[in-house]
Amino acid sequence: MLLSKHWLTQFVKLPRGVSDSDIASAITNSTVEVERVVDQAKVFENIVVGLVKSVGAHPNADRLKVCQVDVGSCVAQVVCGGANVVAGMKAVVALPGAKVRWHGEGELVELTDTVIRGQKSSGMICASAEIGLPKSPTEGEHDILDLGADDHPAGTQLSKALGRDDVIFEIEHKSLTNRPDLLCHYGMAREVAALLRVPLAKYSVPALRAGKGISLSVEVEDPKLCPRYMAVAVENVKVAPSPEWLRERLNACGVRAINNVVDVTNYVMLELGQPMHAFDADKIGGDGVKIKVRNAKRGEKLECLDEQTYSLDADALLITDGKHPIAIAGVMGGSRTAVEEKTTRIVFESANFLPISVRKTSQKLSLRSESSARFEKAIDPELCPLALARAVELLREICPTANVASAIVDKRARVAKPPTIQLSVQRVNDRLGTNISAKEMKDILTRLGFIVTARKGGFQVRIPSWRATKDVSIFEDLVEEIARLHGYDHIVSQMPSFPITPPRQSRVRDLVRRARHILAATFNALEVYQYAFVSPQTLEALGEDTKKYIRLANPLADDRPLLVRSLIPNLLESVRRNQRVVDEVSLFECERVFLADVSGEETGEGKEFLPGQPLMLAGVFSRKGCEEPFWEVKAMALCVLENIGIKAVLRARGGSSTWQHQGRVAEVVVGDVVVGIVAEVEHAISSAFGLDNRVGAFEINMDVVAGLPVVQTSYKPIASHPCVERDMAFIVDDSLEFAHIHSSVSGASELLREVRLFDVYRGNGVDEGKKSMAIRLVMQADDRTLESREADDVVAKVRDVLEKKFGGMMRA
Amino acid sequence: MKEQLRQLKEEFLCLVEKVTDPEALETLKTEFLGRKGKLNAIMKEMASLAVDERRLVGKLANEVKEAIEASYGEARGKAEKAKKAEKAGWERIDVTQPIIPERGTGHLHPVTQVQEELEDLFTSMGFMIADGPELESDYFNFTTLNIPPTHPARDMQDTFYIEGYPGLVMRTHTSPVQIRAMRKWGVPLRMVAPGRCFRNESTDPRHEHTFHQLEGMVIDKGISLAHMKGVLERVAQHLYGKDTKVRMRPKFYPFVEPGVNGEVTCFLCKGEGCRLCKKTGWLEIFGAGMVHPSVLREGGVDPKEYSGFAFGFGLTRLVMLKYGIDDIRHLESGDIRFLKQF
Repeated sequence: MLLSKHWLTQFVKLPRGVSDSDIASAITNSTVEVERVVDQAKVFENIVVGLVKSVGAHPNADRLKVCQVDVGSCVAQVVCGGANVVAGMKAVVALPGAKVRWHGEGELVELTDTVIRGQKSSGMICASAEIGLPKSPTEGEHDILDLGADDHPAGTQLSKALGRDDVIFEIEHKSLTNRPDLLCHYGMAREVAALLRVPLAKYSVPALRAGKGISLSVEVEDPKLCPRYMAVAVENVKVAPSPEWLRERLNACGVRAINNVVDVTNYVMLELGQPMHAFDADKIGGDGVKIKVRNAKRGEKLECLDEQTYSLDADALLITDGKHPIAIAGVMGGSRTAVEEKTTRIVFESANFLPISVRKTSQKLSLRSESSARFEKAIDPELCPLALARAVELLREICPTANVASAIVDKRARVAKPPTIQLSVQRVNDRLGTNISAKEMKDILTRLGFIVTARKGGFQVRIPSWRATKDVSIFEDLVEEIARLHGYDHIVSQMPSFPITPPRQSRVRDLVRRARHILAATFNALEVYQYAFVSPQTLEALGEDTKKYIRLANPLADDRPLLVRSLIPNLLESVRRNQRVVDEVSLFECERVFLADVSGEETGEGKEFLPGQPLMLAGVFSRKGCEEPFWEVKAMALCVLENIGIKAVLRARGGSSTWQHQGRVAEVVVGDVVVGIVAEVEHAISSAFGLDNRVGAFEINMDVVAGLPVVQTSYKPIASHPCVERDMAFIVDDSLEFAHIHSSVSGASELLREVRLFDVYRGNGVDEGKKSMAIRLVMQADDRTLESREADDVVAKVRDVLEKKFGGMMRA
Repeated sequence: MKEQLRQLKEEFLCLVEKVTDPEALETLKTEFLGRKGKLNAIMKEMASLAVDERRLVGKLANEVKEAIEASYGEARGKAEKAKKAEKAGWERIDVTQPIIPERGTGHLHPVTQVQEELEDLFTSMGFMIADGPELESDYFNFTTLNIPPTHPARDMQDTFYIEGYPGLVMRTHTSPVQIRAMRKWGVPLRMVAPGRCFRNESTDPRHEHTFHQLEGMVIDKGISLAHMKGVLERVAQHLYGKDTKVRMRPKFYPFVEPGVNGEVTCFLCKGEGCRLCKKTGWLEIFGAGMVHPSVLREGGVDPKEYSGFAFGFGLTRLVMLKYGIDDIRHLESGDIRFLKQF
């Protein structure tokens, strides 16, 4: 929102020595952020109105002239190339120190005293473009700007002569959601007066007197939706452009000037915060105007000022002329009844509408206006009469023929009693941790317009109408008023005291944290953060069924409308992106996935549940030339689990996802619980997806892991007798799983402490469909050193198991 | 004989100078002092001397022996040292040379690093770490936080909605964890909740639809705004040093009253004003306020008995400030060249 300093100072007299930045910081420190202060005059510094006294030829240049120019403080000699410069002309003179753009091009250049072809020149007579103004209609290509009939004396600052000497405060208006009273100049003036402890001018406007000629009536169907509707008709209006000062002021606040009637409504809105509308009276009934405020009939249509036709729902509120809609209440007027050049009679509307209703309609139609933005924040119904009177006054000022031609109609719902709040001084100080006196509290509230009456231990505070709509209604609201005007900087910080109790632990968070560190430290993996969103193209390339995925209703771009069900697809995208840069990609991520088919936490409403959102830990690995990345990701998965006290194994199974390599996919199992998967990406999919190298991936559900019992490590004495090791090699069917062999072999003898696989071989010398495995048997007894014979016995038993149970063939 | 002994000593001292190999030294010593050595050879003749003379010669012989042994010891020490030095010379490693093949190091995401640092600080102050869903109900994300469906404050946050689930949103802030935590753990409560949030806004170097916040909440009897200032000052000082100050300005958030935004002294210029803080000397890094009574009620807490404060740090913003990251989109890019820097 843009605020004009000129406008503000109409209502509040600023103390001497208060600078623009003082005002901005007072507002920022106590009310709302001022994002920028723009001094309009800044760009016109050292640029003045000059009166050309004489124009002489330049002795050394045909196109240049030597002018004597009255610039107020002196008569300066200026060399000028303007084709139209003549004696007696009022022109723009940039004095040394001013910044101009030569011939309207390039960077701004600071002027200095100079000599041009042997002639002294103290400044420059400027063309519009040279000082950043639009070209005037009479200005030729080589002309300078002719100020014509400007009545400012020579030496007047150009900013003043042009009315460009205002200071504009840019307010962060999104934060004013709760302060609709500040969305205007008078409201902000009231706030500034309170902040700077200066008086605020009373908003006075002469009372309206009823006129004759037009019979005007208003009917409000549902006073809840329209608590107040005021209107008045005005005749003998001459629609024309507004005077310069009004246009300039609207322009400074970012509002486009249209014509005097519309400009008046906008001006009043910017001044008082009350949105207004003007109808052409002759298009809504002429001598007999019957306004009816009612809900739309379903499908009812209205073409608005923006030339769009809107089809309305039954809950949209309409202003009608008794038959046809003429405006969407609080949102926008209709185009048919708009004020135009030949309009002579108008009806001003100054009304108050239910915020929720305006907001719903404006949202549904995707039609937002200055008006709807104010109404939806709940504005003060007491503004209606003020605004109406002000509009008429202003219109008469700029269009003196205009006169009121109807009764002043005021349809109002029952007026509620102004609310009050009981305020205990002690409670305020308790809440703030301060020691603010009752006197100061009273002073602050009074300055802000609250009506404060002393009560035992505190006050009764009556809320002024402009703060009572929504903003201030409870004790805490007043605490804020006191805190912000007392100043947050004056509140002395304290530390709260609490009993010494250790905070509650979150197991899953703890596990995840350890897992991250292990993957980074042990596997040199990089942690990535990725979007929760995934593209259907990625999923389809991986053979996923996108129907199972939760879909955003309003994705940003259409490329990622789905919520991830696994972290792996986006990780594979990352592999693809990174493989161009590096030979080895080892990434992991820990984040939530979103499962429509699993119940998550409560929604808080009824017995509904959110989609399940387990926390997953996933990783991918690929290295140029690595043909079995499976092992690396298997190691990642198992190592992480082991480090957090979970003993897991892999169990082969058919992959449940198309992207998984059917020969290289396994479940990660703890007891009977499946906690994750380890897999490689299937060939064809891998190359179609654009992966250059084989990629392995794992994913573990950390929520499930966090629920598993931890294996408590218990100490075993270190054996005092040496162990005996024997190696064996044998050939078995390739399809046999080592886990199977291992568990059978391990049980062959109680002396067998460890069975370690150290080589697997397929190929030359081993039949097709077979594999050669080499294991090391580690044998040990607790009470003695084993004899060779005992070790031989164990080896024989193991051989027996291998041969009988697995059809193993010993190798020499 | 005395002369012989003296010569023997001189001879050894002369020879020992020229030998640098420890083994050759050993041989030299044996040649002089060994059982069949030169000294013994001289001593054999001692029997022929008179008793007095014998005593004198014996003493001298001992002196010569000691001198030879001392000289040997010294030379041996030198020789061994030289030999070690020589060996070290040809086994020398260029310590500046990179490890071949290069061994990478893993890295945690910068957001994780800053988050863990803050988690540790807060747990040390007795805060628990809480968590909540990212796909959240509209009810928890908005309604319970004093933002009913028709409230204009909903415009402050552009929201991702879910097809087919009108009651769900991608959470726009970590604040719904406030309600969940109050309902789950009751009061008194001290918790922080770091997490991912989503806003439906187009991405550019300064905007991301996905970002991270760290929510915090303290509720007990008698909690005041001064307490809030105290705790947030501690956090700021932990992050940016003990001279860091906190400044609060009013800011409207529907779920707190009073509500403030919080700025800290710019760590780069120490408040002097620089490019980072846009010449203000202050960096805005959190929003905070006293928990709104209706929010306490939604959490099942009686606002007559309890009060509390809540705050939210822009975790992503902290990370960008800390490392001077100029484009927010790097954080979620998964680009190894970016991730390896942290």
